[in-house]
Amino acid sequence: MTTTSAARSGNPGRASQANAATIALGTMPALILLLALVGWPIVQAVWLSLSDWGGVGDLKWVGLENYTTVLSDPRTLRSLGTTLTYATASTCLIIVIATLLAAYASAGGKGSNFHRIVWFLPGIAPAAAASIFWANAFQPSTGALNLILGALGMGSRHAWLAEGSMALIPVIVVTVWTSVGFAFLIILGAMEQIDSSLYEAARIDGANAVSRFWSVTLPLARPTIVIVAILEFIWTFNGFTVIWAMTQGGPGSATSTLPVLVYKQAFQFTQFGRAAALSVVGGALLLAIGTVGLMLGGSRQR
Amino acid sequence: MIARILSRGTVQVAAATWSILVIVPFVLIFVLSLRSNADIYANGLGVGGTLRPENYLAAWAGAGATTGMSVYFWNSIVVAVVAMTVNLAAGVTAAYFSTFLSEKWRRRFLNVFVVASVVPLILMIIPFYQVYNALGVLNQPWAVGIAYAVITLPTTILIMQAFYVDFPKELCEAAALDGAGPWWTYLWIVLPLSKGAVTAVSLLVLIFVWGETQVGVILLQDSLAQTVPVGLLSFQGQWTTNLGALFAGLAIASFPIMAIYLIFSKQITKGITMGGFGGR
Amino acid sequence: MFSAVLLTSAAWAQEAPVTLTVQTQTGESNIKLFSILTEEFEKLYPNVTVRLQTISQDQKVGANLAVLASNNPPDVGMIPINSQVYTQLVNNNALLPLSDVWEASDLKRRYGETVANSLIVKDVPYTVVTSQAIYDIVWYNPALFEKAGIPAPENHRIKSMDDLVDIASKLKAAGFGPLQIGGGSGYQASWFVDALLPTSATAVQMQNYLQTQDPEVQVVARYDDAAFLDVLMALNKLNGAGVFQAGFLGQKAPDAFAPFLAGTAGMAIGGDWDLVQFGQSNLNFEPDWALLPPISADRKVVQTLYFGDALGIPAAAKNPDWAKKFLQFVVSDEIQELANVRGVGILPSVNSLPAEAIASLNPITQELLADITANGSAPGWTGTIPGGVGQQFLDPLIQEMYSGGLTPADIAAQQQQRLEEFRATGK
Repeated sequence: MTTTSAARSGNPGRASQANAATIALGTMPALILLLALVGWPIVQAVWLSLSDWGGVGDLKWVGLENYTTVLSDPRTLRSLGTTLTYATASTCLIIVIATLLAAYASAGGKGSNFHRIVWFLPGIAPAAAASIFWANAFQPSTGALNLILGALGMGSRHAWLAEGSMALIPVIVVTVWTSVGFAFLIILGAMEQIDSSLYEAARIDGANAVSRFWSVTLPLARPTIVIVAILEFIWTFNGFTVIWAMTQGGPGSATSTLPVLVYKQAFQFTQFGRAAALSVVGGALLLAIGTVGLMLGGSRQR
Repeated sequence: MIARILSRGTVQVAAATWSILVIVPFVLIFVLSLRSNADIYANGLGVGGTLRPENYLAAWAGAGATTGMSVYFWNSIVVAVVAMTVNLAAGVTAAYFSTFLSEKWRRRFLNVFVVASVVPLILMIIPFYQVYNALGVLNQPWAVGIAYAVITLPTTILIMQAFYVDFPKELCEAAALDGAGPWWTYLWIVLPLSKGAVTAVSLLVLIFVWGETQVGVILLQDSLAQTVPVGLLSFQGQWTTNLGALFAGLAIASFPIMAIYLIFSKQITKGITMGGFGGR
Repeated sequence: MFSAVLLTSAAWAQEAPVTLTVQTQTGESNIKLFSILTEEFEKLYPNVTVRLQTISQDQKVGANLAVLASNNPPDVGMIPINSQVYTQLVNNNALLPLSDVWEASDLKRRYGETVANSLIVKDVPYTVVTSQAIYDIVWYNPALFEKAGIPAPENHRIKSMDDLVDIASKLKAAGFGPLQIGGGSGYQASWFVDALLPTSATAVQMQNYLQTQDPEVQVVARYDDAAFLDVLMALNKLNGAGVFQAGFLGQKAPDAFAPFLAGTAGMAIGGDWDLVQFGQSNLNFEPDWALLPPISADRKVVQTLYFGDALGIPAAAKNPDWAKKFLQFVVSDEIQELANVRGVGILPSVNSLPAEAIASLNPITQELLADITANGSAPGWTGTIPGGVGQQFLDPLIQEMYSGGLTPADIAAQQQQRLEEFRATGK
C-alpha cells in the first residue's frame, strides 16, 4: 500500500532480530491449530463421504456410491439451484446497496459518522435474533411488516413465507439486511483511500457528482468491490443461520439450500455419508470460486 | 440546477431510509418486549397496551423447567473468553513473527490462512462432531471456544499482520541492540503498543462468537450448554404463548453486544478496514 | 404391591448422591408431567437429583441422535419410535434392552397387544412409553360457529369433505379463521394422513401399511394404490378449497394455534394435550371437539392414537441402574395416576388403572375415551412407522403439494420408492 511497508517487509536488519527457530516457535501454534481443526476435518469429511454411517456405530466403506446417489438425485440439483439463486440475489443486492451507501458516506454526506456506526449495527446483533424477529414480522395480518404495509394501503395479508415460490424473498431480504453493514465498511475503506486530487481533476473537467462516481470512484474501488462480492457470495452460499431460524428449509423444500440439505440429511435422515458427500461437492465448488476469485482480485490489491 | 438539488435530496432520503430500515427492527424488538401476548396480537406494532417489564425476568429465567437466557448468556461468555484467549495468543504471535519471514515465505504463510478463511463450514461440521464426540467434549462450551478460536484465526492473522507490517521497527531494533531477545521485545514492547489493533480483533472474535450457530448447533445439543445464538433457535419454541418474553429474549441477546460495539465502534471499524476482508 | 417393592428397594438404596439426567420435550404438558415425576422420584430417593434436559420438537426427531449416541448421553432419553433416531439407535445396539423392566412392570399385559408389539423389536423392548395421546382432533369454538351460522357437528363428527369446506367458508365469510394448522411445523401437514388413511384403506391394507418397513413383511398395499392416493387427492382438494388459514405453510404449530386460543379462529387441529394449554390460557369460550370427515361417506373416522414419545436408556449412560428404576417408577400404576391423570390431565399409557382414576380426568377427555369405547381407535401411520419412510419424508412433500409444486400422483410414486429403498437399506 505505501512505500514504507514495501521497504520494511523482508528487511534484512529485522531478520537478524529473530532466528528461524524463534519464527517457527511463534508461528507454529497457529499453524498447528489450523491443521488440526480445519485441515484434518476436511480430510475426514472426504473420508466420510466415501463411507456409509448412520450416526452411531461403525463406518462402512462404499466408495463413490454416495456421490452417484447424491448427484443423480433431483433434490440435490434443485437445492443447488436454490442455493445459487439465493447467493446470487443476495450478493448482488448486498454489493449494490453497500456500494451506494459507501459512496454516500465517503463523499462526506450529511451525518456520515453517524451512518458509519449505525449502518453496521445489523451485523452485530446475532443473526438468529434478527431472523426470529423478521420471521415474526413477515407473518400475515399480525406481523409488523404486514401491519406497516397495511397502513400504507398496500394490503396486509401477504404471506411470503407460506408460498413456495416466494419464500426465498423474505430470506434474501433478511440476509441482505444483516450483511450490508460489513460490506459497506470494507468498500468505504477502499473508497476513502482514493486520492482526493483525482476528484479535483475530475471536477475541474466539469464532471458532476454522478459522473465522478462512475469515472473515478468505481474503477478505483473495483478490486475491493470484486473481492467483497466474492466473499459475500461464498458466505451466503454457505449460510445456514438465517434460513434455519426462519423457515428450516420450508415450505416443502423451497428454501432448502445446500447447507440446510446437508444438515437434514445428516441429522434427520441419519445419512451422514451422503451429507458429507453433499458438503464436499458444495465445498469444492466454493473453494474453486473462492481461490480463483481471490487470486484475480488479490493480484491487483497490494 | 434543479436536478442537482433533487438528486442531493433523493440521495439523502435514500440514506435516511436505510438508516430507518436498520434501526426500526431493534426499536420494535424493544417495544414488543414490554407487551403482553394479548397486546401483541391486538397490535403487532406494540402500540397501546400495558408495560410488562416482567417479560425480561421470564426470558432470563426460562419457562418452567426450560433454559432461560441466563444460562445461554453465561455459556456465551465462557465460549468468548476461551475463544479470544486462544485466538489472540496464537494469532497475534503468529502475525508478529510472520513479519520476520522473507517476502516469499510470508506470502505463502498468509495464503494458507486466506484459503482457510474461505473453507465452507458445512464441510467441517460433521467431522467436528465426530472428533468432539470421540474426545468426549460434546456439550462443553470451552471446547466450542477452541473451535471458534481456530475458525476466526485467519481473520486475526490477516488484520494483525497488516498492522505489524506498518509497525515502527526502530523500537525493536533499539531493544535488540541493548541485548533483548525477540520474545522479550514482543511481549514488553510490541504488544503494549498494539492495544488498538488487538482490541479490534478481539472484538471481532467476540462478535463472531455471539452470533455463530451452524457449528454451535452441532456441538452444543444439551440446552444447558448452549450459547446465546444456538439457544435462541429453541427459545422460539418455548415462548409461543408469551411472545413478549420471546422479544425480551431477543433483546437480551442483541442489546449488550450492540452496546459493546457502540462503545468500541472506532476500533472495530478501523480493524475491519485495515485487515481488508476480516471474514466472519 | 408394587409400592412395597419400591419401598424395599428404597430402604436398600445407596446413600451415594446420584444425578440422573432425563430428557423431555418442551411444551406445557410435557414440562408439567416431568416436573411432577422429578419431584416424586426425588421424594422417594432423596440421594438422587433428577436433572431435566429439554429438547425441541426438531431435535427430538433429528439431532438428538447425536446426543444419545455420544459418549456422554443423558441417562434417560426421549426417543420417538416414529423417528430415524429410534431406528438408528436400535439398528446399532445403542440402547439398553429393557426386558427386565418390562417383566418387573408386567408391561406386555398392561400396554395391550398393539402398543406392546410396536415397541418390541425382534422380541426385545428398548423403550417404555409414559403416556398416550389422542390427536387429529379438530378443536372448534362453538360460539364462533353460532355467530357464523354453522350447526355443531353431530356426534362430534364432520360428515363429509364438502361439509368441512362449507364450514370453513362460512367461518371465513364471518371474518374468522377457518381450520388452523401449522403447515410449516414438519408434522401437522402429514397428520391428516393418519386420520384419513384408515377410512380409505381396508383393514388388511391398513395393517400392511403399518408394517411394510420391515423387509420380511410382504408388501400387499402399495403407496401408489388408490387407498393412499385418494387421501393425498382429498388433502389437495381441501387446500384448494381454502380450508386452511392464510399463510399456514409458513407457520409452526404454536403460531397457527394462537388465533384459536385468542378466539379469532373457528377451528384448530390438535390433540388431547391441548387441554392443558386451554386450562392455562384465559379462554373466553368453551372449546369443543370434532373429528375430520372420512374419505368415503360409508366409512367412519375414529380417534387417532399416538404412543410414540418413548423413553429409553442409551448404551453409554452413566447411571443405567437408576435409569431403569426411574422407568419402572414412571410406568407404575401409582405414578401413572398421580402424575398423568391427576397431575397433568393426560392419558396413562397403561390400561391397568382403576375406573375411578380415569373418571377424574377432564370431561372432554372422558368424552374422547367414551368415543373410543363406542367406535374404536387406530394408531396413526406417521406416528408409528419410522420417520425416514414416514413423517419426516412425507411431510415436506405434502407441503410442496400445497404450494403447487407436486401432484398427489408424484408424491404417491415417491413414497413407494422410498419404502422400497428403506426395505433394501434399512434407513
